[in-house]
Amino acid sequence: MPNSLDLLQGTLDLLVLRTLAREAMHGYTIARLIKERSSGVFLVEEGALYPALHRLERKGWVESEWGISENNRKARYYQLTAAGRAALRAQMTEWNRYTRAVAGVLQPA
Amino acid sequence: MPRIPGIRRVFRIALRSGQPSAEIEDELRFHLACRVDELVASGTGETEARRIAQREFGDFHRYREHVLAIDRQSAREREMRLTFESVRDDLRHAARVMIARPGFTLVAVSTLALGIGATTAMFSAVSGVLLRPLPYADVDRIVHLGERELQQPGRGGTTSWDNFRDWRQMSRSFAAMGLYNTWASTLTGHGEPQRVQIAGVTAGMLDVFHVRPMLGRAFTDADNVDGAPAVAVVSWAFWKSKLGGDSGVIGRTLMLNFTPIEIVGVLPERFTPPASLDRPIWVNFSDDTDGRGGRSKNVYALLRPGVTVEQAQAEMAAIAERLAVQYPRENAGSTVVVDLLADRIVGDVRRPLYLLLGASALVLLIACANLSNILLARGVVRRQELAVRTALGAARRRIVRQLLTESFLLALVGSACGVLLARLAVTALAAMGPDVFRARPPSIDPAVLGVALGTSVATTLLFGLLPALRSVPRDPHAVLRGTSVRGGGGRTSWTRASLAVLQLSLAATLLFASTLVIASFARVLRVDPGIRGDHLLTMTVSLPRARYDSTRSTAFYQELEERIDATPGVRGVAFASLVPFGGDFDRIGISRIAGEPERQGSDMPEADRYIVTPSWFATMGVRLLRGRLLSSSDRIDSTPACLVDEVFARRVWGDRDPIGQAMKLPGRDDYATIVGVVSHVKTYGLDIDSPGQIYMSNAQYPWRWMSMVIRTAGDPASFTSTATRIVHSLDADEPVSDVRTMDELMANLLRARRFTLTLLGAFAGVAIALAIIGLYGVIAYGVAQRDREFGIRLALGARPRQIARLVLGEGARIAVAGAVLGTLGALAMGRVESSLLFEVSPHAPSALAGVMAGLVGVALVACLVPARKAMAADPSDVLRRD
Repeated sequence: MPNSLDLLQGTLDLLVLRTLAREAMHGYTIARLIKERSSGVFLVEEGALYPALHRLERKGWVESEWGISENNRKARYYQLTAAGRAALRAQMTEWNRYTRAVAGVLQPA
Repeated sequence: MPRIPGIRRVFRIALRSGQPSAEIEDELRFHLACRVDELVASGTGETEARRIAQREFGDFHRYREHVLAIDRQSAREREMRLTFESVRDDLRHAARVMIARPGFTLVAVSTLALGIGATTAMFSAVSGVLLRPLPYADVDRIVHLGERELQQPGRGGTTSWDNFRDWRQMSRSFAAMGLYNTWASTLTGHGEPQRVQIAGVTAGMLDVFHVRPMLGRAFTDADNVDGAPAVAVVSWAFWKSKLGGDSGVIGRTLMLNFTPIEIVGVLPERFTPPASLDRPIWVNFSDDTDGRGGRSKNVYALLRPGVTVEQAQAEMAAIAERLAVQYPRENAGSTVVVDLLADRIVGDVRRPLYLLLGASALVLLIACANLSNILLARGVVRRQELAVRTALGAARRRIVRQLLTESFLLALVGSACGVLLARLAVTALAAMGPDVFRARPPSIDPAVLGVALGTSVATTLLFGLLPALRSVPRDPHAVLRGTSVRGGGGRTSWTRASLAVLQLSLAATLLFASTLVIASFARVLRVDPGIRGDHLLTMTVSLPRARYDSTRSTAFYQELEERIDATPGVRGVAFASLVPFGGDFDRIGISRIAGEPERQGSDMPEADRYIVTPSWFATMGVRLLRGRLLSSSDRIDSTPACLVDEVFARRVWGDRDPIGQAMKLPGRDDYATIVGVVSHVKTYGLDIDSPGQIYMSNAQYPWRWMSMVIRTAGDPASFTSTATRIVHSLDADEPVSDVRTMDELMANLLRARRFTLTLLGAFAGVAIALAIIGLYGVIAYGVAQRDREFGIRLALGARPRQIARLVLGEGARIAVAGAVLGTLGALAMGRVESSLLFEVSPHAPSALAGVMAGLVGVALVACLVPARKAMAADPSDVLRRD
């Protein structure tokens, strides 16, 4: 896989963690929220969300269980674990430092 | 875009049991379905909506496979983590259990440590001495060539230079061949004068071992011709210590016997020649004066690639036949034996070592049976605990695994202690073992360690499995209600009794084996050596030819004898050309006996030649049987006289009187008259036949290399410095060497026997102790479990004596069963060790009966304590408890 995808993956993980910060939800909701909040900039293919979710689960940052969605379908719900919350905090700090640094360079002197 | 309303989870369903791939499919399909619903709700046609949803999602297949791969990976990781955690928990729990019962742990660990320690020590000996290859290239092609009499079995001995030259010329089987003989010389010019061991070596010897000198050259054929100048090749150690490791040493001279010898070569450091060839100085073999009959040389040879020992043996046997026809006088009745070098070096210890390894394995087996028994007993004690855990839902498999983990931990700790024990034992083994142990010391290397750990873990798991399976109750509720049979029921006690029988029978086998070896040793010690070995000090005082002619040497020895004799604390002193029991021999063959036809080859009666001073017989305690002893009146100008021992006399003259007979001794043209017959001396060792002795006076047969024996009033070893001082007061340049007491020399010859005996005895002792402890455990435990029954019996009017008989009866049944099985084992063992026995039958019925009766006796004594306890059962107390 090309390196640009790795960057995308890392960013996608952060977006997913942030989206799940408040409550448990299934993949479709997560996709909707990210698309809505980013005005459609991210997530070219919605399917890419699922490898990210399962990867986070493998790391122990999110956990999942099956439930019934409001439209009466069985759906897989994800929620943050304590470790996931800690990871989110750490990654957000890191991200903020990064964007500030980039912005500092890019802003006209 | 409308926001998806918060989802209330009405209820949760456990769908985890479904196929992982199906679950992923469901999850992804749900996503598509939601999107399609949304689009349809906003007015898109269903087909169009499905198309849009799929485009937005991307390649469904690819994502499904990707997610599946991730899930598989995490499933694997979870599995591993769980396994690791449960093993860790098991180990932690096992450690807690071990610490909580220190008594049990101590018994179990020390039992295992004994078994593992014994086995590991013996295996390290087998591995170090037998399995480790000799440090030579092509070691399976290096052979020893030697002669022996046609009719007699055994290895090849020595040969003569003339025969060796014919072998080399006539044979085709060998790529290289070398001959050597040995002696000692006085080395001067390097500090104190000292005796050094010398080997006279021919060209070709280094080729046999694929070795080249580190410096200088090897011997060449030109060095072996008569009249060749004497040159020396020295060992690396000698070069390093005596010659300062000087690389310019080639061409310098050594003073040997006050004669200069040029150094032409230095051997490499890593080359350690076998046996008596391993000497600091090699000189070129030349000027042989012993003739074809002078068999005092050893031969090593290298087989040509592809030639087997059998082929070489066949060729050499044929050559020996031709030489016997050609030189009947020296070679009739003699053949050549080709032995692999490795067989010569370790052949003698192979059988005893494997026997001892087997014995140690039996000890290990007994130890494991003991451990198994302890675990079984404890399993019964822990029934309550295990029943609670089973009732609370722990799987039977899980509990068995927990119990096996406990065994495993015991095995680890036990084998660690065992290996420590073995380390101590190995040092002792090396010190007390036969001579080959010094050249090839046993050591605990990684291979030995691996075998030790493997053995201990395998045996412990094997022996821990049965108790583990037995301990987990099939019906936990019965146990908890208290209605289960106490004591674990008939099956467990039957198992434990069988284990006790197994232990006793193995111990009986070992006990019998060691009894035979001990009986053999006692027989050996009862053999009359022919001398009185106590209070005797021996040392060698040899006179260099350059300074002592035969007249001077005789005078020197006479003077020395007088001075020593006059010293307080000396009961007697004498000189002899040989020290009995010293490992040296001087076999001569008698070709002419007056009035008889000349004898040839193996027809010549042989004996060891002892040239002695007349006080020899009184000093050594050799008894006169007929005639007279040698005396100071046997002088150089009187008729040559000699004595023979009773064995030689009987062999040559049978019932006829040998006194007055005359025979021709090698190196002399005249006949010596036999003036007396003395008692036989077992000069080669108490358990080995020797051909007999012929004694001559050194006044009539001057001899330059004499050993002195001194009979002291006190401790002989403490007389050494006095004796050395007296020698040096006569000649300050005379080295004194080989200072030993006769007791030491005789004990040394019994070393291998004593070694086997000590180890086998120790193993048998440990085995019996373990087996008796095992039996005691079974009986004592049975009594503790049956105290209720005994109480009721007593209440019903049984006498305490009857109760005791009941307990003893059970012990006796186990002991007798063990003895019967043990007898079978003992008979098999006797056959295995028959070669180690001396005048003892491998199935001596009286010894067998004695051992088995003793075993049953000891077993019953062990049962007395529990029997007394059973008699003391208090009926009222017992009945009140339920």
